Amino acid sequence: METDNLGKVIISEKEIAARIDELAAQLNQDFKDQEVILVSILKSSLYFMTDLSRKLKFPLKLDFLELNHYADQDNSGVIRVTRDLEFSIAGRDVLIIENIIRTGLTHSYLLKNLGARNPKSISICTLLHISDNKLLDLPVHYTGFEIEDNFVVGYGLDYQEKYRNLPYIAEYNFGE
Amino acid sequence: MQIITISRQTASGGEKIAEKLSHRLGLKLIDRSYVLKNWLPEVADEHQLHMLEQSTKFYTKIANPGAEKEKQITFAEYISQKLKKEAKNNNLLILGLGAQIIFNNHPYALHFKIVASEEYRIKKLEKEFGLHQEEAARELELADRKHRRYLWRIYEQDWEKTTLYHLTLNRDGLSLEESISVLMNLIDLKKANPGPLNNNLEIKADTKQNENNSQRSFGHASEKEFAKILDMHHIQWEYEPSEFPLEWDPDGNVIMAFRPDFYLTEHDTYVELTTMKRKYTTEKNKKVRLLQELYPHINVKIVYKKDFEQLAEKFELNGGEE
Repeated sequence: METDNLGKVIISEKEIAARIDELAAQLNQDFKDQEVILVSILKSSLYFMTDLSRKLKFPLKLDFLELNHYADQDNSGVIRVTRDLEFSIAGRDVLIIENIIRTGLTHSYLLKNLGARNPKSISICTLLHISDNKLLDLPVHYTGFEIEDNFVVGYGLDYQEKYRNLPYIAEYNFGE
Repeated sequence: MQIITISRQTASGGEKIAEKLSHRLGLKLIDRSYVLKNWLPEVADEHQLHMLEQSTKFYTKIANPGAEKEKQITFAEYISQKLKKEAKNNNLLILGLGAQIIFNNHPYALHFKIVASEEYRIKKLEKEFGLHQEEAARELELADRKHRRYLWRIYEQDWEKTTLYHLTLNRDGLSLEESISVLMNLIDLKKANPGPLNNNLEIKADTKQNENNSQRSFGHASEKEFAKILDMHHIQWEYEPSEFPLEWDPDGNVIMAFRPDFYLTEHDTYVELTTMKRKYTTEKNKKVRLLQELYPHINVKIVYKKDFEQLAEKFELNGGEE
C-alpha cells in the first residue's frame, strides 16, 4: 500500500478494540431488551459497524445507508441517498453508526432525512468526533474518541478511496 | 381545531380507515349516518329523512321553507353550517359529506381520498356481502355515481379531481395498517406546518428565496462556495442578516460592529467564514470573542481557511483565496 503521506498513528488497533468494548458495554446497558435498527453510513463506518455490532447483545437489525454528493453543471450540488435503507424505521429505535463527525453538515442532513420517517428514537454513535470548531452542534450520544481537527485515514476512512483498510487510524499529510 | 376529511370509493376500505384513524387520534367521527341520526331530524320529517337517505338530489331542497326567503337554506347548506360550527370546538374526522370542499381552504384541514381498483372492490363486495361478480360491479357503478353526483349537484366540483386532496391512497398495494401509518405520518408532519390546501403563496415564497440565493452577490467567492455547500446539505441560511454592535464611543455611537456572513436558521447559528491564514485572523477572533461576551445567547462559529479548503475539496468546489 502507498504510505508516503501517512503521518503518525493516532489510535492503534488495540486502542480501537478496547474502546469498542467499552462502547458496546454502554450500549448493551442503554438498549437492554430493546430491538434496535443499526444504520451504518457507508462506506466509512463499515469496519466500525462490524466490530461493534458483534459485541452487542440486544436484538438488532443491520441496515446501511449510502450518501453521495452530486455536482451539477453550474458547480452547485446536492447530497443524496444513493443506497437507501432496506427496513422501515417508522416507530423503531434507530442507532446511527458513524465513523467520524467533523463539521456536522452530513449529520444534519442525516437527522433530517431519517427523522422524517418518524422513528421512535434516533441515537448517534460515532467512533471519532472533532468537537473543536464544529460547524453545527447536534446531539452525539456515543463517542469513541475525541480527536484534534486533522485529516485522518484508516479503519474505514479514506483519502481518495485509499487507506480504508488500515487497521489503525493515522494522520494524513498533504505534503505542505 | 384539527380537521381530517376522507373521501372514498365504495368498498375501498375508506370507512374502516376513518374509524381506526378517529380512534387512534381521538377525533370525533362524523359520517352520513351520524348526520342522518343526529342533525337532520332537527329540520327534516320522517318522509324527508327517508328521501335524504335515498337521493342526493334531495339535499338541494330547502330545509326550512317556513323561514324568510333570505334565511332559507338547503339540507346540504344546513349540514355545512353544522359541520363548521362543530369544527370550532372539536377535532373532527369527516367521512364524505363534501367536507373536502367545505373545508377546502381551512388551514388545519387535511384531505384524503381512498381508492382501489375495480377488481379489489368487487372482490371485497363479493367477500363481505356474498354478491356475485356482476351484482358487485353494478353496485359499485351505482355507488360511485351517487358520490359523484352529490359533489357535482351541491358544489359543482368533480369528485375525481385529484387536487381536491392532499393525498390519494390506492388500497391495492397498501394494507389497512400501512394506510393508517401513511396518513398518521402526514397528519403528524403537517402539525408543525399547517396551511390551507390551495396556498400558492408559500410556493411562490420558496421559489423566490431559491432564486435570490442563486443570484445573490456575495462579498467574496468563498462565501458563494460556502453557500453552495449549505444548499447541498439542505441547510437553510441567510446571508449577513444581522449586525451586532461591539464597541461604542462615550457618546454612545457604535465604533465597532460585527456582521457574521451566514445565519443558519434551523440551527440558530451564525457562521463567519475566513479564508485568511489563521495567524492573520486575530481581528476576526477578537470580534467573535467580544460578540460572545456581549451576546452570550448568540451561537457563532468561525470557519477557518483550512476547514473551508477541506470542505471545498471534499465537495469538489473551487476554494477561494482571500
